[in-house]
Amino acid sequence: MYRIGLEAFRFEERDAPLYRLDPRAKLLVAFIYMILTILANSQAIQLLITALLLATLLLLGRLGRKLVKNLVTLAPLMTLVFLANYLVSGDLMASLLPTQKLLNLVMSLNTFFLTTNPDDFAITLEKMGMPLTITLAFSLSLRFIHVLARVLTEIVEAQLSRGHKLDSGGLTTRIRNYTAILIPLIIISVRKSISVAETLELRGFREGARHTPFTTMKIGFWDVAYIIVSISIATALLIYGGEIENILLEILTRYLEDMAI
Amino acid sequence: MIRVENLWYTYDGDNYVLRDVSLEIGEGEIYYILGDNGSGKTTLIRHLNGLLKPSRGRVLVDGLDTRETPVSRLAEKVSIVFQNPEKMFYMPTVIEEISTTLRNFGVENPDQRAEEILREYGLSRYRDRSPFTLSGGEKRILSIAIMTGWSPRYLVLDEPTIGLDGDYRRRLQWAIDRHLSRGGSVVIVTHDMELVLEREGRVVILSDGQVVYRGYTQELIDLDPGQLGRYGLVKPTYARSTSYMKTSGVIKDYHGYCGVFAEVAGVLDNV
Ligand SMILES: Nc1ncnc2c1ncn2[C@@H]1O[C@H](COP(=O)(O)OP(=O)(O)OP(=O)(O)O)[C@@H](O)[C@H]1O
Ligand SMILES: [Mg+2]
Repeated sequence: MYRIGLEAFRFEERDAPLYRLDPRAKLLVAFIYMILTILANSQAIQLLITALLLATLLLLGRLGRKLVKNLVTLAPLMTLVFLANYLVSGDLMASLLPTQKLLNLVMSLNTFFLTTNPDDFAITLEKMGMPLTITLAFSLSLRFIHVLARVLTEIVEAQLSRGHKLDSGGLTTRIRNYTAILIPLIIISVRKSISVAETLELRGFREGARHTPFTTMKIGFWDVAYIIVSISIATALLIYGGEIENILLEILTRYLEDMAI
Repeated sequence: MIRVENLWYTYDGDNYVLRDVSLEIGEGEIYYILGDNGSGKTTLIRHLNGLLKPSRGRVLVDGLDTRETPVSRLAEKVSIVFQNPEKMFYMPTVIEEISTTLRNFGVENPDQRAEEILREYGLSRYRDRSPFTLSGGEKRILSIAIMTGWSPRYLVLDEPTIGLDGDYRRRLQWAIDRHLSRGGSVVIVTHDMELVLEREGRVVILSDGQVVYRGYTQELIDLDPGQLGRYGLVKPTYARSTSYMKTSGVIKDYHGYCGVFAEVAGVLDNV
């Protein structure tokens, strides 16, 4: 109940095609899907994007179980977006669009983040010309989130074991209850970050110093294929979006009519 | 009595961290849970007050199924002192840290009781300090002082001797003995064979989430060091001499003697 849904967003090593692609290729394709999602203002096209992303995640990433957890965690947010839009506009179909966009944005990011080791991502950023301090900060904070999630669970458990009640009482009691979680969390995270800084220093890390990356990356045949397929789909959608939408709508209406009969 | 019946547990839905574990922790008994790093010891004890619910099987605390009983109710019976004491501290002073928990469990005169506990555990001089400024050993003793204050029936200690020596180690021993003498049960998760050999009790060894050994501390001392080593345990050097003395009839049982030998070994180490 109090366990945090962060697990669903965390990278885990797996043997699937999407995991073996170059992070740069995956990042580019994720961006392409995000741009498409932002540009497309039709429910039918959004549905098509969802289908493409699902195919990518399920077939190339074998991420079924994880995706379910991931979407369940996001369900409250998506419901909220939908309801907020519906209350403002009063239009059911129009409120569907922002919800679909949110879903597709998350799934686009998933094609990258769920399948890429944070360390590889840092190297990718570095290859793209980011300074080392930024990429290092990035990969450290990604790791830190999981460490903190674990610490947070342990703090909550320690307080529950002391007979601490977290969700009872009035507002002031609740705020008091939460200080029991926040105070140890803040103290422990500050301590941890200080020890990370000390460790870096002891290992001889200096800003601006040259260093040799431990792993190297190479764009291969499948990376190129992955990019080309995505770009082709995106171009087709951008140029023939109207026609594709009409065809999709036709199929959808026929399907819905069949259902109704 | 705590009954763990055919307990299976998985964090991610795929890999089982506990596999078909069964135990029975009786009244007034001391129970040791041993095993290598990552063998599932902490996961197991988190089931005892309902923080985790079994994926399969069940856990009964005095007949209450942990799946159907709120953690607050179970926590009153089963007190768990976790590996890292820092995660429980949040009050500005040591004394308030103790009294707030007494209040949670409805102990009468919590403030007065807190002062007594402070004295019992030799922590009086830290009364108004922030718990975070204490040393590692002091923090651990404080966490034990907090978690025994309302006289819970079961006391569960996760790696209690880490960072404790000399005086604080004796205070831990005293706390364990007092709890036992009041009829309470103690569950100890540890790698520390010296601690295990000091009292007669039941033992299980976990490996990879499964119970691979079940017995009594008496029998543990006769296992060969290689077998213990496979479970991440090291036989204290003096255990061999005690073992020898027993086979040659010089002494009748180990407990007590192990304590004496441990003390002698400690003195020799410090010379
Ligand atoms: N919150 C968690 N989420 C996912 N996996 C976990 C979690 N906590 C523990 N594990 C995994 O479960 C297994 C058992 O861990 P557990 O902490 O119970 O071992 P342990 O016997 O207490 O080890 P140690 O002696 O190091 O304390 C390990 O493989 C660990 O990585
Ligand atoms: Mg542990």
